[in-house]
Amino acid sequence: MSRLEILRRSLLYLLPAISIAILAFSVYLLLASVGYMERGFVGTSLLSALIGFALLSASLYVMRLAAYVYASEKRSES
Amino acid sequence: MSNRIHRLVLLVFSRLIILAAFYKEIMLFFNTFPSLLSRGLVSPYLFLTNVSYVILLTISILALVAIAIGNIYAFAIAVIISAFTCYKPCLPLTQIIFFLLYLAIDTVTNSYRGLEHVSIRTRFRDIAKSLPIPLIPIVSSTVVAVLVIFMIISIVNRFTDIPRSNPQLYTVTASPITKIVVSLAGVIYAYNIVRKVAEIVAVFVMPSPRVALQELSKEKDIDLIFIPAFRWLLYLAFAAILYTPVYTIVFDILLIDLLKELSDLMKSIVSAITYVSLVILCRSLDIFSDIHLGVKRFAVTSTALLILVYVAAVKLALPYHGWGAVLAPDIQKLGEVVQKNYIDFGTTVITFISTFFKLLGVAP
Repeated sequence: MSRLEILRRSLLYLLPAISIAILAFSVYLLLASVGYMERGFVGTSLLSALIGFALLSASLYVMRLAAYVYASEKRSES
Repeated sequence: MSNRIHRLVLLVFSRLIILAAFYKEIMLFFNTFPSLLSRGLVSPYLFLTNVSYVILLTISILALVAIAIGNIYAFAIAVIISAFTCYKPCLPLTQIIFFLLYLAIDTVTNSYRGLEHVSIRTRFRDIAKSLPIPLIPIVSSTVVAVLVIFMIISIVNRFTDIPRSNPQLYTVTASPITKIVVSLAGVIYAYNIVRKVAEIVAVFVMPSPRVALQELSKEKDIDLIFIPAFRWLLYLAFAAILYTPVYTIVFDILLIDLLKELSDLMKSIVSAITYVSLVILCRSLDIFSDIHLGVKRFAVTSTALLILVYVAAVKLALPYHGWGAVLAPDIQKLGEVVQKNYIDFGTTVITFISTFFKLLGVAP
């Protein structure tokens, strides 16, 4: 297996891994936002929610890319 | 001839299904409607006080319409509204099952050609496999909807906790308008998220290399320029920067004779309209997302602004130079006027923003 092939293979797993990592962080921030809201830090809570939502859409975007890369790799295997 | 009879039987059967789904509501409609008509003016009052009765009446009217003209949408809306007949929103399971039956019969009615005897041989295993497939979208969409509603309700309920720690915010968070706005924003955002997730799931379940390559080679979709969430806030701020010179040029210099006649209320209405139209202008130019799209509009707008500045400067110089002002516009004085208005406007905005952030608890 050539080095390029290894890179391509690893990319197939790298993109979902990045996406899931970002997703986990965004979920943490969204939960933290609820916590801040409970304690009355409205501004902090809104900021945290904003960052969380931005990270959530970033994660979805990376996941979409990963899905399309996965689908386009299907042809080379079959 | 028999073709028509078959069709007729199918149509009658589909109407009977609607009747079976809503026979209680239709019975109620025929029982109470004559008395409502005879009571006359009292009925509007009854409508206002008894919400569940209004819902039942709406359902029965929609069901009658569906029976009369066979409209699928009327039936669907009646099924959806019937979720609100209980005291809490509940699942109208009978009606949904009848609706699915109606959809099946409707498909057969529309595609039925009559006297074409075609048979398809299927194995029992294939039928057993295909049966749960229609259930998957129903179950998954129900689960997603329940989750989204649960989350929005939990967020809105948190609002009641705030006043204990931050009593200034009580009037904001306790108002139903805030709750409605927050719920609407949540629903719209959840819709976007669910649509994206559905796309990802569809691509993973049924990978099609052709579509994937097509999608990956679309440069516009892949090269994503960062678009911040809640961009309209940025446009509000940007419009506030543009607002002062435009307002000064148009209403303090060019149209000053017209504006003198107006009352204070009209003046504030005019300035509000100017601000809103500037926000819409900035939004349509879409400066913060993709500048390559609106090059023409951008050029036209900036030329128009330059012409406005020139005309205003000419008008300021007109009393001193006569028509020679066309060649010697007084841009110096225009700048002074705009600067003065900027300082006035700036103090107002800064006071407003600092009060707002103090209310939110960001600044001490």
